[in-house]
Amino acid sequence: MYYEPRVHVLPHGSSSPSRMALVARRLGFSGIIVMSINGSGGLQGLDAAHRIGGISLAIGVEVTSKDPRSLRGRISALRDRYPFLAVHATNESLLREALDDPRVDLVVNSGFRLTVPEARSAKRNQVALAIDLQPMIRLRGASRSRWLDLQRYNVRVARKFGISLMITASPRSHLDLRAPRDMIAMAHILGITREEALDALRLPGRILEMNQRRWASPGVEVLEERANYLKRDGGI
Amino acid sequence: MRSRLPVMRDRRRYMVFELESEGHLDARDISLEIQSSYLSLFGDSGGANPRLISFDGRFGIVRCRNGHAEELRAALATVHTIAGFRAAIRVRGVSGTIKTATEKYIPQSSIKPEEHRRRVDLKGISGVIVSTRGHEIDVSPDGHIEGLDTRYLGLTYFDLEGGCDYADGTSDGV
Repeated sequence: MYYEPRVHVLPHGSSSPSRMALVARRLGFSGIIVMSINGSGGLQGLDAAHRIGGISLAIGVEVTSKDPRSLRGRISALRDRYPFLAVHATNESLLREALDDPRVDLVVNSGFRLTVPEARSAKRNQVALAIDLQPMIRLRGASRSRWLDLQRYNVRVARKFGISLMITASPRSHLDLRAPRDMIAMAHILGITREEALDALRLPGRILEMNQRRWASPGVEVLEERANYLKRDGGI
Repeated sequence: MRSRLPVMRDRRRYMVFELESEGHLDARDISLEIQSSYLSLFGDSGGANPRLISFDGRFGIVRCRNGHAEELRAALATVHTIAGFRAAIRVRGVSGTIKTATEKYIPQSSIKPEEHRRRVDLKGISGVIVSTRGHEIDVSPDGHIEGLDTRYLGLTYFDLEGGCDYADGTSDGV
């Protein structure tokens, strides 16, 4: 039911996918999404992780680039290969571009205040906003206070415009993983209510499930495909 | 007259936690870190008043005031390094008395330090096994871990199967 949507494993992190899966299962998650950075591959030990029962493991892709043009190109190239696509927005033009693209599932915002047009396009394109708790764990003092202020603002904007949230601890080691209840308690400090936090923890699972089904167009699902439908209906 | 009326006594909650860390830590380190991370997050006026009651090297109990347990849970979740070792505090449960906290949430199991210094040689990873816990294995790598702040690599028995010469299906799975 609860998912950790942004897990970095070897070689980008210091734990293997199976260790992440075992610890996440112990903490009460029902699934994790392991991120492949820009679809470069090179993730080790995925076979071992798939053998672990009681937790589902999905491979997503985290896209980042220097300018919006190449970001768009990368999204086009990678969207169909992965069931989950996140964008790490390291500057404001990337953030704007990512929130304006309906193919993006999740935007990880590294420290910008959401503007009204950005919030509108996020709502229109159903892009979720990641609340990354890693700075709350790592920072202390004035820098954390500034970060808390920014996140509280973004949470308020998200609530006003109806943008969906996802909560992540962005673990790069199994020691960075936090249990869902701990994440709810931390999100409470950012002004996220218990119900909103529960929705945010469930959302990655729902999006994965939707993306794994096949859609002909928005709202039209392909349930069964018949290659020879013309012949059966006597057309040709 | 009694100096303190029983009805005026603060009600307390006892939070049982499990420590995961890369090195050996004592109760003093844990106590200092819990105090400092709570104070850093909630300041002097925070009402939980956390105190470390006991710590046995792996499981511990923290006391806080009733009604502030969620605050303490958030503060414990922000702990990432204790006395220079990467660590994480996992809350196992909250209870109203020390007795039920101990009985309900502290299980009898242990982490095994690795004595034989078995080696792991996988594609891209080589090192020495430091400790095991169930199927989980910590490996001290031969090279330096670039750009990361952990000392050990977190692997599992599932990663080693077929890749380690010593994968013999023993009780700890290595």
